[in-house]
Amino acid sequence: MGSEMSALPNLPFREVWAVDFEFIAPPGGRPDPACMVALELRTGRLIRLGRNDLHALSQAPFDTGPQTLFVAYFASAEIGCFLALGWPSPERILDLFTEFRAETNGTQTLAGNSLLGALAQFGLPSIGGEEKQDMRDLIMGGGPWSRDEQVAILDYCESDVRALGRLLPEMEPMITTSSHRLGWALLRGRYMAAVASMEWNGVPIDTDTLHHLNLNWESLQLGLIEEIDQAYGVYEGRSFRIEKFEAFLTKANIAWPRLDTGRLALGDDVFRAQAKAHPIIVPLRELRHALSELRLNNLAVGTDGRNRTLLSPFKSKTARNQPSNSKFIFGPSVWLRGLIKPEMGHSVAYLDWSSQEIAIAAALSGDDAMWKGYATGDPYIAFAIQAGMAPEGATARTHKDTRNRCKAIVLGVQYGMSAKSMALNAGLHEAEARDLLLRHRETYRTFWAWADQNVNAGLMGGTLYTRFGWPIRLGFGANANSRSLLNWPMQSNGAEMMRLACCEGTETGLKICAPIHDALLLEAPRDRIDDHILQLTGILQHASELVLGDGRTCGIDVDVVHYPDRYSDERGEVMWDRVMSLLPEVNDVLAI
Amino acid sequence: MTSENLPPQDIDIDKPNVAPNPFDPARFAIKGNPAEAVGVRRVLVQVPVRKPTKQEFVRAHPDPQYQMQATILELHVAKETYVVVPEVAGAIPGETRPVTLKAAINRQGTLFLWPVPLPTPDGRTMAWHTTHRDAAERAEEKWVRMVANMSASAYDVFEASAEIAEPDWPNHTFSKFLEIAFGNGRVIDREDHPVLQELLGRM
Repeated sequence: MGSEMSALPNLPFREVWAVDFEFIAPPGGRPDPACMVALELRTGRLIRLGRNDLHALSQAPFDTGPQTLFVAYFASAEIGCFLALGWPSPERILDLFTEFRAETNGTQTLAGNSLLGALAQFGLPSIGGEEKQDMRDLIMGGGPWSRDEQVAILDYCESDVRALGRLLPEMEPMITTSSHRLGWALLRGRYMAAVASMEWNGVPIDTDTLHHLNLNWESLQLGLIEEIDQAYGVYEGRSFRIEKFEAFLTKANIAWPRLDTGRLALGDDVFRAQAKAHPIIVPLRELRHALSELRLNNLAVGTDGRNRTLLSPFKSKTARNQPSNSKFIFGPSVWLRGLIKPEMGHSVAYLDWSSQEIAIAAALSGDDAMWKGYATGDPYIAFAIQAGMAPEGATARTHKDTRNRCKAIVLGVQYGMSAKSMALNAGLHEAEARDLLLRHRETYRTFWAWADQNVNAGLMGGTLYTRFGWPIRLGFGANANSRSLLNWPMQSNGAEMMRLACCEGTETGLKICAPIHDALLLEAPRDRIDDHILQLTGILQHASELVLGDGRTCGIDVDVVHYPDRYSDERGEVMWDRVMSLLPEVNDVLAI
Repeated sequence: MTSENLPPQDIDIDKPNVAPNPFDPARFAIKGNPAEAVGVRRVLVQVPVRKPTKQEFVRAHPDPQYQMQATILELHVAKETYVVVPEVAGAIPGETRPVTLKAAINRQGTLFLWPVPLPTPDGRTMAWHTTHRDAAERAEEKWVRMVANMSASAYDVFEASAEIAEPDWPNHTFSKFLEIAFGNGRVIDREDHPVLQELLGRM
């Protein structure tokens, strides 16, 4: 028996297969499997298949039913290859990446979260990073490979599988402390299959418009400066001049936050906060943001016109996905989302949970007053009424200003924001923010007792868990931050709700293009979109019930776009229109 | 690694002998809040003895069991307040004053003992005292703020007109409040008490 074989006594499965694929994946494209190696860890049975062998099979060459455990590192890549080959997905997936992340979440790892990093953490041998990179380069070259190269690629793939075989016995005792713990791991593995499915689908992009934008992007940026800067006079060419901005602020009588050095604070968070308090700043902020997008062609769009990038599941401490800002269409430049356009005869729908974080805070803390407020459908006006700032029967229409102030507080407290930050964000006086914050504490005492308990437990080095076992424990190298601990349960349980919905949605056969924070983008033929929305709405509600418990569910909001319309985010509409209005002009100039 | 990263207490701790079904996650949901097992609670470690500041709204505990008549001695420089037993108070005439110590709380949840002046034995009425007592009495029902009005030689008393939630009183007896406020030798119960000796110029 080789060193990678083990009895794995605590894993109640008949077979345990460690599997790895090598594949080619151009930016925005789907994976194209190059080879696969699978090793049954108890018997040592080894399967090595090259590209042609893989494509000759209609299913995996080993059992993928519930009695077999499929073990991988970052399993979405392997399942993406299953999809490419048309193989049914394994039913029980154990992803040692998600489990390594779970075991170390809140702690600094020795060498990152890759397979090499995990091996290093356990003091296990591995191949060198340099050798790994050489082999990856060879594979990404796309072939054709010589006979020797094919053998080398298979050997390299096998070395990763054998590494999994060494890693699993080290991690098995942690993963099998209880039936619950193993269940959580398998649920995370299940989500990795959903991730593969969503990455496979991708987001439909209007590639013609993207092409035009890319061709003209530099000229467009200059056009935007010329048009928008008329109201400010703060640019010289492409350069933002601080002294001119100072002069503008003086003239506009706007107090602006400064750094300790006395210089104006020019971070986007400051611009965002100031734009809320001073609407005149909004276009300037959008311009600065657009100018920071120097390379639109970073957006990963495949030859089939779909935006695809690694969704990077479990990357953040809250286990939320963290895809690349520049490669993912749902990055921070909201105006770019106008590029999302359903294909002919199709529609896309954006479904999200209403005020998901408030629902989680209310349900998990057991604060009945907060839940009652959430259940009204408008937790902001409900807070105003409950805290005695608006009369019974007040609505968003009758008490718009009060509601806006309360909204800033209700959302701000989830992030542990100070009165000062809330005041800055919401354009309130600090004294008013202080008073509202106090009222929030008085109105939702059960929530605050729960939140304080979580923060204290976290700071004491205890482990916090989501409903389905995603943990955080501040350990070596952790930056203990009470504000992020306060927000962690809302974010991480929200991520869990999203994962459950993605699993159920993709397994039901719905075409989910991408998860976006607390939302999902669904695509379907025009004549079936309504049915699919109904189906996904039920799934989102079910996922919320699983997390919130006690039969409580979140409300669901839906936006639908039918071909030939395009998706738009209201926060980016003005900018999109402005860019589009400039696009023909630029084209005309180029044509001359 | 996280060997001490123990699972929440309300879940089973048996080794899995049957593979859990990830398609039925409700079976392994955590119920309750595992953070409670860490056992952290706020401890009342300080009960200042003071009157409300002119900038805070306060409430006084309406239960008569949460107030007590006492004679106190205030050291203004040291910002310390002592309870003086009647047998000893006669040793420092003019230095002490009779008050009602009332449990009080501000909107930030800070508990304090509010010394409310009692009528003077000679029956002389002072507007400072009567308005002070009035504020303390109103504070049993409403959130109030009292501000010295120098020209009237009295306190102006303001009641909050907005709806403010009832205070969340710490779950302790009044004796516990007294113990925390006057522990550490803050009860002058003998003539050789160091504070008394200092006042009498004997040390």
